[in-house]
Amino acid sequence: MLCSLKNITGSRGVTRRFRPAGLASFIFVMFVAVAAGTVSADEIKISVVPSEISISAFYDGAHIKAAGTIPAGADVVIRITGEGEEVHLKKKGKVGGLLWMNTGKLTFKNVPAVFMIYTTPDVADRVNHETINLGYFSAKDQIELEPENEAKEALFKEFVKLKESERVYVIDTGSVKYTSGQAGPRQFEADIAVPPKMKPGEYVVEAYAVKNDHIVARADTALVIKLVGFPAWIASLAFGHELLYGIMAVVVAVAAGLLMGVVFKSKGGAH
Amino acid sequence: MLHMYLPIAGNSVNILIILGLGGFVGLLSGIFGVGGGFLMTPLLIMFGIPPTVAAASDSNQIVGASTSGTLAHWRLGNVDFKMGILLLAGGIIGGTLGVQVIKILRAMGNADFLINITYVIMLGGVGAYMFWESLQGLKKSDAPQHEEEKPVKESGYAKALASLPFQTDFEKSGVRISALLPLIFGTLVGVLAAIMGVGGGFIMVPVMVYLLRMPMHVVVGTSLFQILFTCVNVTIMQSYSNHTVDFVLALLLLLGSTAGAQIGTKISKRLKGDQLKILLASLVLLVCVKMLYGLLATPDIMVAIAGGH
Repeated sequence: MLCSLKNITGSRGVTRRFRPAGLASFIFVMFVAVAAGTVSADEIKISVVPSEISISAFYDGAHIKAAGTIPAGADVVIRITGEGEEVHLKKKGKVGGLLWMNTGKLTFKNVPAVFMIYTTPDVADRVNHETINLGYFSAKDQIELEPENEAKEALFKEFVKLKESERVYVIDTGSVKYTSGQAGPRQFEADIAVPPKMKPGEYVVEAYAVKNDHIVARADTALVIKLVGFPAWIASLAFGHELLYGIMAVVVAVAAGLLMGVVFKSKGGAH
Repeated sequence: MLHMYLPIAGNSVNILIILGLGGFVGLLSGIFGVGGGFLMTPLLIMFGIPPTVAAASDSNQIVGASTSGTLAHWRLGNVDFKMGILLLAGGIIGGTLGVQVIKILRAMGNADFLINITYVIMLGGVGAYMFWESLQGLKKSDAPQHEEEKPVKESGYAKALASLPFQTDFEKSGVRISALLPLIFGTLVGVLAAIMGVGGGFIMVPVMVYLLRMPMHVVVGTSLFQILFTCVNVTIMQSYSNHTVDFVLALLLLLGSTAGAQIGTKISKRLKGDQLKILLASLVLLVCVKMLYGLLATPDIMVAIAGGH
């Protein structure tokens, strides 16, 4: 059974869609848990409001509210991940023991474009625990590095720093709040900042219930970000009518330059 | 804070910051006849624009700023079209050659090392020479009684120039040289610019001043004229093959830079040739120091997104 589950996640990996490892360990845990009759899937729920974000001309990121329920006595880990993408990087190194410069190129394949974790501080410390494994490194096995390099882990750490500086890789421990007591199912909610750097696309928002260093339940919902209005028009022009777009960009620039020349001349003429 | 979303860069920017940035770089462009990519591209990267998009959108912006600047300098009689067209033709040949050269360099490995070192040495050398030379010029003009103390000696370089075929009068620049010269120098600058991934204004201006012996004011106008066409080409090519031109970003930058270029031209008019040269030399030295710092300081993050300058 376990073997066949692994095969399923393996074949998904081939389709180059990013699938974090947490899901595989969760499926296994669920299998054990359901067999033991301890958890019902109804006990975990998550929803986000709004579930669709529109990027218009003056967009500068957005806020969404995630809320839901987890089983009694458990803690929640909310995780948002995007599709796998290919990232080309320059590697920096020291040349001649003195000068820092680019010493090579490398490509990460199938790395999540976005990886955000929202939870409480004590759980955040444990997200990389092997039975939880929801942190950045849960994506490690799916990620390919080209050219092959023995320092994959160290390079991935540097990549994570880069992504964290763009605020698309986040481990946040301050936003999750519980709105009901310890007894019975727990209600949680979290304010989540969607940075402007999060590209249009489909994202998965997952809720994991963690209890005694094990995942006991999982639910997910979708978050869609899309371009509308002016930015959508520009993007469709740039990717659908490349030549026209390039010529238009030049014509507008020349026109703006000439116009400014006329404006300043009429000003100068007053002297 | 008013922000605007850049659909190609995939990020949002503060409108006022970008307008200000455009205005400042446009000002430099109008004063010195440089595109300003050396300054604009790293700043845009700092504001979260991907390097390739920063460089391509900047060339779209330079089209506007250099149109505005060329027009303003043309009204002052500072554009030598004949010289500009020859330099441009050379620049296009050089750019094409340079792309091939860089492929060979990359295949040999260590290309970045070679490029960085050449760049720093060249900026340092050209900047220092220009600074020293214009300083001498300024000192001389401070002491007018010594003016024209002795006729300028015919150097070996001048003799060699005079012996070349296709001697042509460049009236605006007030020089008579072989038409081959701007073509050859244009090609060389084009090769260097392509290898270093910069527009080349910084290299072209000193070449025109010292090797083609054009007056500084005409150099600024002619350089802008030449930059205009180079950037038109880059903008269309980048839009067509790489989808890296963010028109929204370019438009914001344009609004600032076209105005900046007009004001820059007015400032340029008031400055003497030597004053212009010494200011540009300081700027070149500053860029050189910045590059050296970048090479010597330990980076915070050991990887960076590929592309850009």
